[in-house]
Amino acid sequence: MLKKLFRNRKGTAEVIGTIMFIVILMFFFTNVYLWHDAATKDMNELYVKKMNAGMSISFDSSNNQVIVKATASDVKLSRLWIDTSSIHVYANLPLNLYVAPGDTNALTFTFNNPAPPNSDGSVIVDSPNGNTINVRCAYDQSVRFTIVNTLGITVST
Amino acid sequence: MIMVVMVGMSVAFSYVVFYADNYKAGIGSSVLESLAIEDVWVKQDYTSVQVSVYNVATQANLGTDVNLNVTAIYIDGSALINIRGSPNPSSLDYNPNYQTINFAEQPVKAGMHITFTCQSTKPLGSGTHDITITTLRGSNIKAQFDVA
Repeated sequence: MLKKLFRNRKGTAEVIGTIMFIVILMFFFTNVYLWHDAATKDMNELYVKKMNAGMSISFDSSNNQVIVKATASDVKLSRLWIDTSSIHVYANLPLNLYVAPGDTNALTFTFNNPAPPNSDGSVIVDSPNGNTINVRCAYDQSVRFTIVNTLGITVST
Repeated sequence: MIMVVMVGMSVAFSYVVFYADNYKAGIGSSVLESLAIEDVWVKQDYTSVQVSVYNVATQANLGTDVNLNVTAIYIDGSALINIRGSPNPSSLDYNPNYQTINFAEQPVKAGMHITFTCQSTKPLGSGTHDITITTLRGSNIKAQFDVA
């Protein structure tokens, strides 16, 4: 009975076709599922990084300084926004500008030698001097500072 | 017949690989989109709005770069109009993204900061407002901002 069945060559192509079709379907769903799973994992890792990237920002109006502290893990800063009632400008911060947690590692922004902003709304940033960075920008009493890190976390004064 | 089936299935397999790659690069990547709204500036006429965003989906953060396109920006449920503005930096309605007429025409590449110059159809008075940004892949990014 079995011998007869195996010797019968009729329908072989259909059987092979069906098996390959199922294999292709399984390949597609496995491929997409595993990729989606990895993508979700990557996003969850980013959320964890964001949760651990606590920052605080304070404005010392008597000394005209803005102090940025990391409150959890190291944070890499991206931009400092200086918003007044008449204009919003930003300082593109140097690459690889990390702030480590702790008061002693706080980053201080000063605002000496102000210059007009560029046409794209950016302002000039001097090279960092230790933990101090000078931003060449003038502002008025209604100023609000916002710091943005490379994970997209924004904290305002 | 077996030969025909093998060739047919090879073509089908190639198409499936192509389709899966397209899906992953397209609508599937919506799960990886990550956009931060850095700044919303409502100008003194209460209708001109500058929305600055930052695409956080970079290789350093996610292991892959994910570019995106903004399709619409809503404030308190009303869609903003993306205006052309003026290419002249000394002009009051200067728009650095002068060529952009629709939001989607300006891709927001991974790690890129970009400012959209928009117009609100109704005045945005003092107080807290909700802003929602939608992307081509269907993600919604929500935030709140204050107008003094």
